[in-house]
Amino acid sequence: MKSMPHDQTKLYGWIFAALVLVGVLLGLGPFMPKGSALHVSDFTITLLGKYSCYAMVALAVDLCWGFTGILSLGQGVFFALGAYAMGMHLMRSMAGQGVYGSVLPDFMVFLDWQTLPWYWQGFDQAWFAFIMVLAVPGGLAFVLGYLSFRSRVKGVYFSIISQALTYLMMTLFFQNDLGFGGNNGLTDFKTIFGFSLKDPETKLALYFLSLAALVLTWILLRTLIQGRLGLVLKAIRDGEQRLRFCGYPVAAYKTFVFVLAALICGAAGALYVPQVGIINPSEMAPAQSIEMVVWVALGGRGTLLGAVLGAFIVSALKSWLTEIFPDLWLFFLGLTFIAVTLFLPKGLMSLIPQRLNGQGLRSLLRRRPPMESHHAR
Amino acid sequence: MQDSQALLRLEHIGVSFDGFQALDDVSIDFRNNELTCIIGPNGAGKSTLLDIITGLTKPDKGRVLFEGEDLLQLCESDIVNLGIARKFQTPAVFPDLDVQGNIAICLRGSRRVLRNLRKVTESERRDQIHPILQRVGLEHHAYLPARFLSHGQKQWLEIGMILAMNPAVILLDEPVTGMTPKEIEITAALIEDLLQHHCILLIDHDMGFIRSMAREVIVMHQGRILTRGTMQMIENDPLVKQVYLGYQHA
Repeated sequence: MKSMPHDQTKLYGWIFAALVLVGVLLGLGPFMPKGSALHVSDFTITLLGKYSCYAMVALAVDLCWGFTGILSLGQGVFFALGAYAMGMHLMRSMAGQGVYGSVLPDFMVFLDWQTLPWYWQGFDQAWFAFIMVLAVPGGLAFVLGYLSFRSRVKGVYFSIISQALTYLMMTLFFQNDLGFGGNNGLTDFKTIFGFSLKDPETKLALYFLSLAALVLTWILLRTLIQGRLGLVLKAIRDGEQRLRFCGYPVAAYKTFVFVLAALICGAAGALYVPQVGIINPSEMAPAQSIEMVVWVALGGRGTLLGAVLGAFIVSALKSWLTEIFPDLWLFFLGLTFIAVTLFLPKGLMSLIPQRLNGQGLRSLLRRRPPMESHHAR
Repeated sequence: MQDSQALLRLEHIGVSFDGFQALDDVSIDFRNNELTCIIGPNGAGKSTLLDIITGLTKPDKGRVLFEGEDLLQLCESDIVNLGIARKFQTPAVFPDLDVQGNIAICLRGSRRVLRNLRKVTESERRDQIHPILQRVGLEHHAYLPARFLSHGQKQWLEIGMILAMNPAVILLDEPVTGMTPKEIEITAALIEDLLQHHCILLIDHDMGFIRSMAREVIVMHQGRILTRGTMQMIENDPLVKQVYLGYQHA
């Protein structure tokens, strides 16, 4: 038989590139005259920026679940921690501009605190905040991942542990005494790096930053997946015990993937917070993390593209539905999940015709038989 | 039976599960370029023996030495990396990886995470993966996901994966189960070929296959070594006839 690579990664790459192009063009929308069909409102831009952050999270979930078979139901905790670290920087950088005019964040004044807690030190520096955006989620993921994977906790047991972790952290962050604003969280941000968060230019810049981060995440994960690591991860998904008998330290690989996913989620959270203007413990609610899994399930696991599509489609539906039927959203989400599991187990990606695969596209573009060339020798 | 040139040595291995004595005082030496066949009825302890060598099960008594190093202190992946590879009873390939991916993942080289962030190079495909695929007769299926292979092809792919790992010791657990006579013939030739560079331990209860392969045969029964010798000696041993051959004809 004439053998061919069975995956469609080339095609998916082109579709993603086309989506990014659309994203860039939409980013030019605010410069179009108001009232014209091409005009895009600032509100829409911020919404798209938010979705881009969600899409980064979806890529991280796909890396863990779709490629490696680690179903984390607590990815929201890493997203929220990155968001909190960034939120702390935004709070500190507006010292003295709050309602009470104090150097302390408003909620601390409200609680009658006199001095800044030690763990808030350093967040006035942007570089320190950036390190924390990655270090805190990454560190937590390392501890949880290393301990679980070393003890060979896997499957549904790991899912439950990760869900418990996010629930625990949510409960913890609801405490006013913890010093992160309790159930109100961190909000009322004024500026970011000296630019007003109310300015349309700032909003647009944040949107393009989020889009760029999404593209970078895509390129990073795609490169890793196409290399030897991609083989190892799929082998873990297929049979991690068998892989041990190929000499691989499976726990190290799983920990690596879990930490990498947490870093991506942390970065996404940091980009999310200045656009949304608030971060509170509800981001750590179990339902948030499950929604992240639904993005990937709906889009299609193990394709990267499916995760991105799923995040945008589900989030857009959510924005639309919560506006017209606020009470129905969770029912709708649940029904969608059931319907996809039953009728489209490989998600929306399975609707892309298989015959239009990357190989065909490539040979159309470059007229030479690829991959198999060395077999002809 | 013990000698100093043994590559892999089992010394007085004993293990029991919930009071059931699966292995009792088993000592075997394996030398390089030698094929050792172990036969015995189901439950004789053959697979348990492989589990102990590969680190899946830890014995209650005895030692396993590989080039003088005690394997009982090591985990599965460390034992593999020392040079002991196992072919499982049921074909254990990675179904979602394509055929060449299955080989690529087994090629010798560092197993550390940061050393595996690179791509599979074109020269690896050409100089290492392709020759192995040719040797196991799968070169025309290089990009086929392994789940689409036939049962026999999966077995060969797994032998190819072991070739890629190039271990000193190869443990084969019933490599011809479920194969057609033609496939068995090809597999036997493959194993003969492997013997030029490897020490092989083969476990099976297919008498015909063992007869075609065997030089020295060890017969196990109820966790003990019943007897050992050439196939002819074994087949004429009344004790073996009673516990094993009788069982086959039953």
